[in-house]
Amino acid sequence: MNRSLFVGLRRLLSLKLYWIVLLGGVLIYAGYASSEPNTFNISHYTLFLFCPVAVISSLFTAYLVGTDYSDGMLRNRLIIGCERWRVYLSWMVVGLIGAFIIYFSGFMITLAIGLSKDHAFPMETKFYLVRLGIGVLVLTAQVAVSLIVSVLAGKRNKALIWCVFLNAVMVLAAYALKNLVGVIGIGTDAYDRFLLEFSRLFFHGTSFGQMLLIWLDYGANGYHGDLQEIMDIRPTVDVITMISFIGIVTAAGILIFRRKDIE
Amino acid sequence: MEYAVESDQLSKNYGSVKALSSVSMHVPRGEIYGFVGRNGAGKTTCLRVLTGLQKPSEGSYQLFGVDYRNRREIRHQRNRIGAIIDSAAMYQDLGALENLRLQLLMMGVPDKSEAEYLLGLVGLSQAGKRPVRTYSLGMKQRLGIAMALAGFPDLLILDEPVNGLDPQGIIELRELIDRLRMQEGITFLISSHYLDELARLATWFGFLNHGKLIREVSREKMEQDCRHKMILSVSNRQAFLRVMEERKIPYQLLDGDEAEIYQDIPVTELVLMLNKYGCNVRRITEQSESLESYFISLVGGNGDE
Repeated sequence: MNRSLFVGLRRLLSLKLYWIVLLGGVLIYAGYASSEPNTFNISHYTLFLFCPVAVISSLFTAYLVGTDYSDGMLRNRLIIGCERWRVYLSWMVVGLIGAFIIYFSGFMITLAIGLSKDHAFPMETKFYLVRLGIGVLVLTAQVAVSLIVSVLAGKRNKALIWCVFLNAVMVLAAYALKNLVGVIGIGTDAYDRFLLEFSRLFFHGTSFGQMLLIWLDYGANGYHGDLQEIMDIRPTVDVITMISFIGIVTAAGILIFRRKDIE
Repeated sequence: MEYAVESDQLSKNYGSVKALSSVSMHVPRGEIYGFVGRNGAGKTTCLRVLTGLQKPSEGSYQLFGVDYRNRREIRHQRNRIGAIIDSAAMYQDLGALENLRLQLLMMGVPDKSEAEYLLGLVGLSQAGKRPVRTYSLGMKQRLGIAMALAGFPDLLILDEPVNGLDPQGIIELRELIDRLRMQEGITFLISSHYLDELARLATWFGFLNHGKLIREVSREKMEQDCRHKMILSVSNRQAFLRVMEERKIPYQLLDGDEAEIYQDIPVTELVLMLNKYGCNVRRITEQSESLESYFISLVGGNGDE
C-alpha cells in the first residue's frame, strides 16, 4: 500500500482546494467559537467539531476518488500493477488523514480560544474520551461510506452528487427519528425497542445523529428526558458496532472495486 | 520466439454484447506491433483487458510469459508496462512536472532528474508548472507518453497515440518510438486507425474486426503479400473458387467476375492452372497494395461496423 499511500498523500497535500477548505473551516469555526458569549464549553465544542468535519471529509473523499477516476490516474496505478485492495485502502487512509488534519486544526483552535476565555470542561474525562473515540469512529464510518459510494459512482461529479445526496438523507433521517422518538416516547413493545435500538445506532453512529445528541445534551430541547436512554453511551457495544460497521462497509467496498471494470 | 504479450482465446462480453471474441494474439519482444481495426472493432477493449483494467470473460493472457491469474508474479510484470489507454491520464490541476513525479513515485522510481529528462524527451521542458488543463490536446498526449515512459518500461502500450498531434508532433513521435525500440529494446503495442502511420512504424500487424483477430502478420510477410496482389477477371467463378481453395491461395471476390489474389504466382502458371479447370482469364493486372487496402481486403470494404 506504501506507494499508493505516498502518492495519495502527496496528491492531497498538492490540492489547493484542500488547503482552502482547511483554512476556511478553521476560520469559520474560530469565528463561531469566539462569538460564544457564555462560558465556553470546550468539551461540547470539540465533540461537535466531528460533525462538520465528517461531512466535509465525506465530500472530500468523493472528490479524491472521483478525480482519480475522471482524470484517469486510477488507470495508471492499475496498469503498473498496484493491487486494487491496496489502492482502495490507500484512498481510505488518505481520506482519514485529510479528515484528521482538519479535525486536529479545529481542535487546537477550539482549545486555544476556550482557554483564553472563561472556559468550562464539564464532562467527566473518562466519558469525554469515550465520546472522543466514538467521534473518531463516526468520522471513519462516514469516510468508509463515502468511499464505497464514490467507487460505485465512478466519475467525480457523480460521486460528489451521490455523497451530497447521502448527507441530505442523513440529515432528514436524523430529524425524522428525533421527532418520532420524541413524540411516541420509549415504550416496551417490540416496535418501540426496535426503534430505540435503531435510533441509538443512528444517533451514535452518524455525524448528524451525533450533532443532534450534542445539541440535546445542552438541555435546550424538551426531548432531553425522553431521549435519555438513547443518549446514554454504552462504550463496548457502541465501539464494537461501529468497528463492525466500518469493517463490513470496507470489505464490501474492496470486493466491489476488485470486480469493477475500469474504463 | 519470445512474446511480451500472448493471449489465448481472449473474450470480453458486456452483457449480451461480445466486444472481444476468442482473440489469440502474439506480440513478439522488441517489436512494434500495430493493432489495426476500425472504430469499435474492440482494440481499446483488448488493451483494457491486457492492462488489467478489465477482467476477461473467457480465455487468458500472458505478460512476459506469466499468466495473468498468477497474482503474485503478474504484479511484477505489470510494473514493466507503460500505457496510454483511451486518453492520456493525468491530474488536470497539476503541472507536467508534478504529474510525472507522482507517476515515478507510484512506480517506485527515485525521481532525481528523470522527470525533467522525460519532459525534455517529449519536448515539454518549458511547460513546467502550468496546470495540465491549460494544455492543448497535443501537449497532453505528449505528457501522456512521457508518463507512460516513466521508469523506462519493457512494454509500451499506446492506444491511438497520434490523436491530437500535429504533423510535426507525429513525425517526432514516430522518431521517438523508433529510437526507443532500437536503443532501449522496448516492445510497442500500438493501436490506431491511422493506417499510414502504423504502416511506417510497425514491424508486426494484428488485424481486428468485430472483436475477432482475423490475421497476424509480420511486416515482411505483409509487404510480400502486398507486392503480389493480382486482380483477375475470370469467366468461371465456380472454377476459380475451386482452384483457390485447392491450392490454398488467399483471395477475395470482388463485384462481378473480378477477384483479387494475394500470393506471388507467376502469371503464366496461374492462367494455365485456371484453364485446366475450364476457367479463362479475361484480364489480369498487378498492383502494389497499401496497408489500407490490405486491411480492407481482409475485412471487406463495405464499411459495416
